[in-house]
Amino acid sequence: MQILAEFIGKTVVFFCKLFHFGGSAFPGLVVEKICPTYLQRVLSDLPYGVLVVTGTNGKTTTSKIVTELLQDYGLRVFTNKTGSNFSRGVISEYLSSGTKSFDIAVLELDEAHGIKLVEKVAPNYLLLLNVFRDQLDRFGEINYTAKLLEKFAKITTENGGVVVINSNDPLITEFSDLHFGFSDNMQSFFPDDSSLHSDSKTNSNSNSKTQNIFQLQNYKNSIATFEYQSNSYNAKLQLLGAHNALNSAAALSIVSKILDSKFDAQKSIKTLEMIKPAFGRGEKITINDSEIYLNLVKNPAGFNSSLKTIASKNSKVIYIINDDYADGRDVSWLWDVDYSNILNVEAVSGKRAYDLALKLKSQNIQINNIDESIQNIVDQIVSNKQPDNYQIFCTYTALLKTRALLSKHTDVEHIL
Amino acid sequence: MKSLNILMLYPEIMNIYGDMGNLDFLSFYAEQSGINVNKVFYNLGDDFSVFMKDQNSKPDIILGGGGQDSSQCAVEEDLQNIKVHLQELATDNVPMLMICGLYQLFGTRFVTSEKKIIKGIGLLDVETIAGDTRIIGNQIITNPNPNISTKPIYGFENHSGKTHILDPATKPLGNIKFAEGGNNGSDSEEGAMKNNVIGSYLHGPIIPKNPDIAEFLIQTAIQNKYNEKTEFNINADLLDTIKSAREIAETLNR
Repeated sequence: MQILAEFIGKTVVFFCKLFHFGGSAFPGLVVEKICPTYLQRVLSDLPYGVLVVTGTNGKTTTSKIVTELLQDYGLRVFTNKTGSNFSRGVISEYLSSGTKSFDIAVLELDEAHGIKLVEKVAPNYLLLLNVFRDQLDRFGEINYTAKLLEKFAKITTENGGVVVINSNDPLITEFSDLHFGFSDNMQSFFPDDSSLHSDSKTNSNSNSKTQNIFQLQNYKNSIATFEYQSNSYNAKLQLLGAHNALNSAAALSIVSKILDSKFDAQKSIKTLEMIKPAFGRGEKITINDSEIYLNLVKNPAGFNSSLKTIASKNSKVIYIINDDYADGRDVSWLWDVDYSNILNVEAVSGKRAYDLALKLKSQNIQINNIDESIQNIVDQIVSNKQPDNYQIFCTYTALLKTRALLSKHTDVEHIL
Repeated sequence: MKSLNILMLYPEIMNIYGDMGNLDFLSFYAEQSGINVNKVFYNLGDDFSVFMKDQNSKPDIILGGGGQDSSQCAVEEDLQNIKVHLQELATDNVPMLMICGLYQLFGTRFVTSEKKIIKGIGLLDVETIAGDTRIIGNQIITNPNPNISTKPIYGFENHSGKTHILDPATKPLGNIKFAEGGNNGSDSEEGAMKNNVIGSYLHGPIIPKNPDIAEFLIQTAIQNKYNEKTEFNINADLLDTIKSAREIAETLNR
């Protein structure tokens, strides 16, 4: 059954690629229907086992960093790099990878749906990044999300696995003794939800109690400073923003645990400097002479830190908001984002363009164009012959759509 | 220049679904019509009596939002402490709009999923009991009470509580499009109102896309304070955007 499922799955992948069909999870869905235990079978005999990366923000970027750091030591890594984080998405990736042999699987998993996979295949390593208010239409309450992550940690620990957790996130930090984090002086770089509205727990800094494996000490002009085993390391990052510097600390911490005595901090810092942004996470696309940056936004915490560290006065800023299930049906979180450092917006688009436009107008932010059609916005960008810098902030399905439309005009990395 | 004090209750812990947007947009709407707005916040442990000192400091409109069950437990006692002031203001016809969590606590009681009873302040004759499943999705109040809105009200609801009206002195806001939602998922009704106190599960936030509610709150407050009618003077561009947002809202699936 496994072989039949795999054959059919690969055939579906082939046709999806042939017709540029963007639904990345479809082949996996087919295989899962035919052979429900397919993924467990594939993952059960990897030499280094399975690393699961989860949390609200930073999963895709952190998984990419971990993957490239491990590859640098010669490990063959299987990863679900599209950011599709449901089990069917993972299977689709595996099918399109050519199903060759691997040393380790690095899986970024959705907080809610990932638990189903983890219940079947206990991870050997777990990296818990953070918990923010996100997609409450699915989760209901943030405390519920934290409980889900506790379950991830419990399953991993009970099966003898290693769990590394953000020491600066009070909702999850106590699920393990192994941590990554930032030093006290970095607090202002990491506004949490409580600065917008606070949840029951305050953002107490638990660094004094725990030792971080890698600790982010400073971030300035895209240079991050980390402390590891009492030594200090500087890295000039291509992944912009303090939040990505913290993702880097998370990745370095778990990689040092996976590789153990083989881990060489200096070598991995050098590799880190070479790593480029993941799919739609500050990813750069060039058309004519314009640079177009795609930034996925999912929740106030992520949107705020992107706006804070990425957009400059010279950028043409575009917001594209959809409300499909993968975007979050409820768009009320848009009202908890601080847009005030971008006073002139090039365009607002997507199904819920007008919802965001109301927020922006009530803040006296100038909007040059409101158009629900993403196609129209992309046409406008493509027909612009001036060399411009576009920063596009979009929800998940809006990102897929925008990227697909842009790819008709230039080469972008092929993602299923 | 006319001036209104708009007070937001517990913004630090009862503001989970963009509820602060109600305050921001309501203020913007009032200011467009030449009314000066003084935004005031009341958080856990603050002294409410300072607002009651004199006519100038009194809240003219009160807003409240939603929170997690844990936040609702946290405000329970504090809310009882300020109940007397809120009752006095309600008796003075001060308009209030309570969304989700504070809608529940403006009722008589809320029984959580852990069977814990959180006492409410009873400005609305409703009680809420947590259900087994959450009620989540887009919602439309198709025929709202015409004093509040002459057009449908659009929003998004996300709650485990099922709310029932206990006394006919409290009326529902109206009937809903998606019957699996609303107050309790069974009587096709949404929200509650008694005098000028309004409760609703709909966020979005609710005010920006439903300007009739903004006008009700402002008009009532100006009437109370200045005994005058309000001329709204909203620019055409903003009205267009509201209209477009409402047209999309009309088409949304559950």
